[in-house]
Amino acid sequence: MSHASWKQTLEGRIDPGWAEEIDHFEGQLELRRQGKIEEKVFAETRLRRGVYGQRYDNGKRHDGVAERPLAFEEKPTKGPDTLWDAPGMQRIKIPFGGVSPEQLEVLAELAEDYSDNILHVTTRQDFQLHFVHIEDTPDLMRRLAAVDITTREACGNSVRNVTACPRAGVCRGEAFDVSPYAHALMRFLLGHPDVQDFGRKFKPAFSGCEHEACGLVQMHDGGYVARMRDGKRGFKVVVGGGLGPVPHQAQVLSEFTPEEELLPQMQAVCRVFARLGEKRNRGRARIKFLVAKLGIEEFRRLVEEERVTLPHDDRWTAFLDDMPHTSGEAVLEPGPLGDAGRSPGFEAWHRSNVYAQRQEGYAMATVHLPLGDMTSDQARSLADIARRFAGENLRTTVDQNVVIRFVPDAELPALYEALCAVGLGAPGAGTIADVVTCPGTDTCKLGIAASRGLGSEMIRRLQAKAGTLPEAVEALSIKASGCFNSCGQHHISDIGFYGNSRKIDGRTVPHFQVILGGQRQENGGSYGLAVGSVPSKAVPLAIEALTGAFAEGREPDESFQAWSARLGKRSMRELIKPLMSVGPYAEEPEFYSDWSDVREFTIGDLGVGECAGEVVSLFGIEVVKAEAQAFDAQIALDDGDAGGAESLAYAAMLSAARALVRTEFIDVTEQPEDVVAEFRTRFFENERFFDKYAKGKFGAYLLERHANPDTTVDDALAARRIEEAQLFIEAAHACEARMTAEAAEVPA
Amino acid sequence: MTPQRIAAKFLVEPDPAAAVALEPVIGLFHRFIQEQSLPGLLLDVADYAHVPDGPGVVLIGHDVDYGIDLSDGQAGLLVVRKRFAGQAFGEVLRDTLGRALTAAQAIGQESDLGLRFASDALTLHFFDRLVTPNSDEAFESVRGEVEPVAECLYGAASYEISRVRSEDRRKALSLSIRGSGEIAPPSALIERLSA
Ligand code: SF4
Repeated sequence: MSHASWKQTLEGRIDPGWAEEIDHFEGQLELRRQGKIEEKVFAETRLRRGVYGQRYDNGKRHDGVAERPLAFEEKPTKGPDTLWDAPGMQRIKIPFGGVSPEQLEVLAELAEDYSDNILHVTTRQDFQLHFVHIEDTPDLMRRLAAVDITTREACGNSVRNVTACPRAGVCRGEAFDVSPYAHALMRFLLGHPDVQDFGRKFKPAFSGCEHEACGLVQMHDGGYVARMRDGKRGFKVVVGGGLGPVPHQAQVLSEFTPEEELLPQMQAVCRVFARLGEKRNRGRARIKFLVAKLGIEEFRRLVEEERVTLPHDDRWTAFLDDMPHTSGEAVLEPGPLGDAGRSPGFEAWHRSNVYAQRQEGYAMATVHLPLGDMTSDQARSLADIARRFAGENLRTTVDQNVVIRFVPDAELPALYEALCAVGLGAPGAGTIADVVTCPGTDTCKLGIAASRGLGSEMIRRLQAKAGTLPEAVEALSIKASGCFNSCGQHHISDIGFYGNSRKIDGRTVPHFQVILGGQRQENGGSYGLAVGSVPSKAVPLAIEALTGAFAEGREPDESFQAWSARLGKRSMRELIKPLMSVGPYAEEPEFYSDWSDVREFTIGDLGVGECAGEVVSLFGIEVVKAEAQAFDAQIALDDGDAGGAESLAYAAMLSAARALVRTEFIDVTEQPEDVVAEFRTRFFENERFFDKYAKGKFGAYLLERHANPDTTVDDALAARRIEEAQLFIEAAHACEARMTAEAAEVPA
Repeated sequence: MTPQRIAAKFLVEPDPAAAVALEPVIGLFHRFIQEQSLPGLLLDVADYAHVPDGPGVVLIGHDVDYGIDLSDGQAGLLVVRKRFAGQAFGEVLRDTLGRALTAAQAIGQESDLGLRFASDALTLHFFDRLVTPNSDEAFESVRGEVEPVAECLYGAASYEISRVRSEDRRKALSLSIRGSGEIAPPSALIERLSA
């Protein structure tokens, strides 16, 4: 029996433009398979369709004993150093997180047919499927397109998913529902010629209000906060925010952009970014660097100038005419929550997972997905549950959960039971047990430490303590990233972590840098700062130490952010200091592997296996000075001494560079000129300091600062310099680890 | 036509509903990769222990995944065969079961783990909504492919095939095979499949 293909089966059910794009992608795929187009060209093409590489796709993996090749068949690559058959990740854009039951059902099928039966919700309201084969992606895209989902520009240097608060339309504090605007912006910019020539990605976000956390616009490249002025709808527009290695808070482009100006203004922003943004140095190519370089006034002037020259486009305002005025219709009549039908566990779940909507008698319920994961069976059940209680009203959240909106209060006990029956009734949404992580070393090529392994362990421990923790501790947030790139959004949690590593006893030990006091409220209004690196296996104890001290020492009503700021970083560091050291491998071998992984830790699949070396290297001794200076820089900044902080951060980079130089040239002086000259010739120009992915970005921090000291230093600049110093020190550690490994490889 | 993926699940015995300690499985699967103990190109270990009724811990491969799976509230060894373009249905079916029984044997020999799998019954899932939708027609067609393999395992007229998960047509087509009479040990079943 012969069967029709997906292309034939879905003919007429896909937007013709989208169908053509997918056909084109399939054609490119075939051409690359035959070796007829360049690997770099194909890599760019697939990335723009959300088809990512995944860890070990270079065909090498350290199995805990040695690095071994993965014996894939010889075929053309999917991109530089990316093997054809190696499984990859498919990112699926979900604008403003709005997903219908029908779409969820298709996602569930795709997870079974092409992935590993897990639908993963990301910190940007996307879905991701892992372990997908490249040849399955065109059909996967067709099946998505048939339910109005595109993966176009889910990656690549373009406009990424447009996110929005999951409460949009039901929130008690919003100015108005931003979802239709988020949808309109997504549609307008999707494939727009003005967004095809960016040096890096651009992430937009919408918020219905100024002060809550849900929209997180302050950490986005472009952010839109709903505002009313004289009865008219509009937006406060901010630009140039971002996390990553050097986090920036967005700055105000416009206090009020009327709704009809939203799209053209954004188009003008895109044009300015495409024209003036950095293109060659990826590490400086996000719009935050352009805004910082030009200053917000000049950036605003350029946008206004550009706006005037834009040829008129009817689409700028067409969406306003047919914009929905509600955020979905309820399927059930509202009714009050009664005492009947409450099963055990309902009260706790109701306390943490239910939000009273502004629509009288209705509630929004959060389905708490551990680490953002659900199975295909659960996704289908969730689709059924949504239909039964709430119609089309599902949204993904940046906390990697799903919310069901328009549930009548009276139906909440029945909803809870239905969720529990399929393993989706976990309480604790928005509490300390609702740990958010990026994929980390599980699947991400850039991951240094196992953020998901850590997250899983924390969920296990914290759920066991549910109901016994002090209320103030219960309300805290934990977020972890596998590396400094911050996909886990660790900067905006009370207690955040990002993965790094340290060389101890001649081996590499996974660590997490501890970041304290970030703020989610005010749309991610301020970022936490680093207080020190803790071995991965000691992180749960660090959390206990921090939360215990907070519970005991806080003033009534004092937030974690206020408490940690009051005590200062020095005291915070003292709390975790006893946990920062690691004994030799023979005594504490458990520290030398990561969570959810029994292999002895290495800095990944990037390098060779590492052998035992001397106990403490010269570098190890010297780099401590750099770390102390970076820490003191933070203290200085806290004390209001921006100039002193910036100088100390620079000094920290010099010390780390000198520590490296002294491994080869012991007599180098302490003069900055000498240190920088030696660093440049011995480590930078020959690219030994280069990170495999970040290339020379971290080394350039020192060289640029040395060559161009700033004459005026404000808090923002000092904070950025401190971040740079920390990253430079991390890169020095990594460089030294690579050198040690290479030395161990040379036959005696 | 052969579906894209075929999965076989053998349940833990004696009680598949009892809790299974998954942490030691992570170590075991990493060792299997180091020692290349199971057939297939083995790539990595995915830990989904945090997902209720989820895939548990999975040894991800290029052409096959091996997992201690917790779906439907029943712990078992789930083996998903994939990327076998051009092979006949029956051939892939035998191969899938052969690999599953080999893995069941290998895991069963790990006495510290204490995991054993019942070989008198199994569930098959066919992950391909085009070729094997969850329909009566597809079930009948698949049954025709499964019968010879079931007979090979358990002997003529000594097995029963029944459709499962048919109440929800959105789910993948699935069926169970239950052998009766005396069941041969896994090693003998593997031999029969490869004969
Ligand atoms: S933070 Fe790092 S490890 Fe995590 S997903 Fe981003 S790049 Fe990967």
